[in-house]
Amino acid sequence: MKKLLIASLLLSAAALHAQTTADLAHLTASWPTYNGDYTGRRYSPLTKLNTETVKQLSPAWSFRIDTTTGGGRRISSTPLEIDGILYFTVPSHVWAVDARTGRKLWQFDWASKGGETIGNRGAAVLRNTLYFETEDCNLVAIDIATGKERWHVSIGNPDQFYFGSVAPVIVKNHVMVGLSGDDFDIPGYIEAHDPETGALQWRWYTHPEPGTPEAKTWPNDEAMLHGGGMTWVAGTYDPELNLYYFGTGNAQPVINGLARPGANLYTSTICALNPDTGKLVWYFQPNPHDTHDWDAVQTPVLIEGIVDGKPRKLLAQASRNGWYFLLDRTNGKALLSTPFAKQNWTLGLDANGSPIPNPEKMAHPNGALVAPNQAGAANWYPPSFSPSTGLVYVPAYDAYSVYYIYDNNKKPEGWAGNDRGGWSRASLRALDYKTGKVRWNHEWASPGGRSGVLSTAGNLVFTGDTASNLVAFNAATGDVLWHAGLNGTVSNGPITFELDGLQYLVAASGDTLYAFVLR
Amino acid sequence: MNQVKKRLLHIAYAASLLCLGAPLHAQFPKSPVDAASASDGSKLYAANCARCHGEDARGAGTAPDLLRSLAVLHDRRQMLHGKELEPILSKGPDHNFSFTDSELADVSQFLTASINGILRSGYNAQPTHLLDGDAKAGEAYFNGAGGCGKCHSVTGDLAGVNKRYAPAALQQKFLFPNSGLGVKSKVQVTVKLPSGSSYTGDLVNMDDFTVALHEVTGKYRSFNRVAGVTVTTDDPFAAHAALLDKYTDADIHNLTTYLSTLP
Repeated sequence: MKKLLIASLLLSAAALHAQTTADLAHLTASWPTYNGDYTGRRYSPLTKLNTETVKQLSPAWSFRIDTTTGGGRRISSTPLEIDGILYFTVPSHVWAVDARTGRKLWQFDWASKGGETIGNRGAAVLRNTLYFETEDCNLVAIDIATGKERWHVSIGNPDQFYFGSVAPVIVKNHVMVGLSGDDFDIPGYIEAHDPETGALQWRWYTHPEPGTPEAKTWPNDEAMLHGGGMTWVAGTYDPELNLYYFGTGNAQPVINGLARPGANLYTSTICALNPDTGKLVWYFQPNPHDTHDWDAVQTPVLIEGIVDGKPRKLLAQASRNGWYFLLDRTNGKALLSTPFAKQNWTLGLDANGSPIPNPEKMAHPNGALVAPNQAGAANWYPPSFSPSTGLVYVPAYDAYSVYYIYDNNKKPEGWAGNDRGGWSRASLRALDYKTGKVRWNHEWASPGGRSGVLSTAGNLVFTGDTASNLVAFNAATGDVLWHAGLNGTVSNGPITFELDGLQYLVAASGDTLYAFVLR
Repeated sequence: MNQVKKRLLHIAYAASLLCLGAPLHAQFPKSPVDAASASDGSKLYAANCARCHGEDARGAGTAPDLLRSLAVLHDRRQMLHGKELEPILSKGPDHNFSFTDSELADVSQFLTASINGILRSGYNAQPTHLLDGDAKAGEAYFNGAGGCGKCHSVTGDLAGVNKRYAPAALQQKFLFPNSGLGVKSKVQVTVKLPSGSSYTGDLVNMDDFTVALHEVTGKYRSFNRVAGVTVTTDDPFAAHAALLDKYTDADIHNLTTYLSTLP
């Protein structure tokens, strides 16, 4: 008995320390990083829950938070599930909750000095330490056993409207940290910290070095060095190529781009970085000269595909500007650029496969009718890719709004305009990863909220509808198979995991985490 | 302010929250500004600072952009009312000012207001040049390609429409009548049950699984959308939505100008 106990202690200690790069490469029965694994597919190999059994999915527990900092009580983080414990965040707060029962193990409260509290997308865990960002620009390390702080380090200057909201990602001995903030004309960056000490390993600004050819995509260095390009969304990683992939945010000033003619690299760009050095290896710009706040930060999903009969390392992004891009992720060359939602703002494609923006569809003082609207054809809500069906699942909007310039100063700053009004139609859209063609589309009965997506080897897709239902689809056909009414729109990306032979499904709606289980 | 006006303002505020919805970013901390102090500060700024830093504080010549100054941004966020700006203003390179604490606070408030004004929600957000279109072309569109005349008349339901709405609101109103302020007609929904019963009313909400309506009597009814139940909707603004795929921006500007300048 004693031997057994020691063995099990050793095993659990081993499990606790097993959080390595190799484990994060392919999703198994847990959910150890923001996207489940490094690929960004949000595709679980679990099959107990499938098209036959999903109707038996029933409530396991729910957990309601009663603390938050600003921004309303909205859980937009993707929980991590590690060794039977869920870890999730809202701005300035972290919870550890028993994944079997919903019992709170600890809650961590950060004394915020103030920042933008639009949301917090989640945490990262390496061995026995959890990492998360605060809205007042700190990276905080917490002991996952006790919920007590180990250390914190600054990741930005909140005076300049930088704020933390991104889920960090562990890559080898790096805690990858993205930054948020597009109220003000500041340069974006991404940085890596030492997981033990928090020390800064490197910082890469999302603009070219002055004097390089890419710097010519700006009128001058002053504009470039205040040109935006925030790193809003957790990236993906290919351990073989040792490349970390992420998108950057809009150029600044946001809406009036007249004083920054050019493509404005590396804003609204997909970047591939060496995570050990912080050096840029390649880039592709889905959204040159962004004047619509569309960014290009949607999860770059890594796909092992077949193109022209040959196995290829691919990267797919269904971008907020309404275009779907398929790249060769070894070099960033575009294999496909095609619209996946209503869009009216381009004049075609340039030689690299980047859309060419139509000046008529940039903001005007008396308005320009633009599709999509500012909320975008896609947004931060995580998409999913199923290698079983070959489909990319995107919460897609077809939408219009009118973009206005409000500030015609010869040196516009900040926003200098905005969009107004709107019409939208919301769908869950399944795209063929190779062609971008819509294989099935489920239009929701009314426009409304958006949610992240999960797909599984059980031929299922889970997401929230525009009202208050968590919905399961047949991944291949788009038939609705199951739903459960929550207290509002699903506000995060749903996850699944298996414990004691039981498959769970967890999604958040507003202030509540809901767990379902197949018994 | 009279009660009616107050209530209208409340409604407008609530509606503005509704139509802005999720993308709205609140400023936190907001660094609120005392308007009188900022106004005094703007005069001090114009008299002492604008010559080098520009009238709008965005820099000129070699003098830096003060809206992007780390010292000013720190002063704003911490609401220091100029305390840490004082050494720069009195002893910094090319600076030799001896502002009182109150004057420092005023300059600080002016700069804070200038920064607040460029943020996402900070603008006095009004479109301009809305009457630059061609009213004649707008009239032709109204009666021709736009098909507006099929349902509307500028001497009937739209008489005086330019008195009821400013051009910016009017433009939004014909583009997105179901969005924002003053929605007049709800989507009509009819639910037919396998039994043959049929219920019609204002749509309250609908998803893939349920539908709810208010009958003309005010009675609320909801239904599960099970097999055999058919649901049909009639959007009174469908013709407006259909135009979104067809408008040119010139059509929109011309129509705005025409409707806003009706006699």
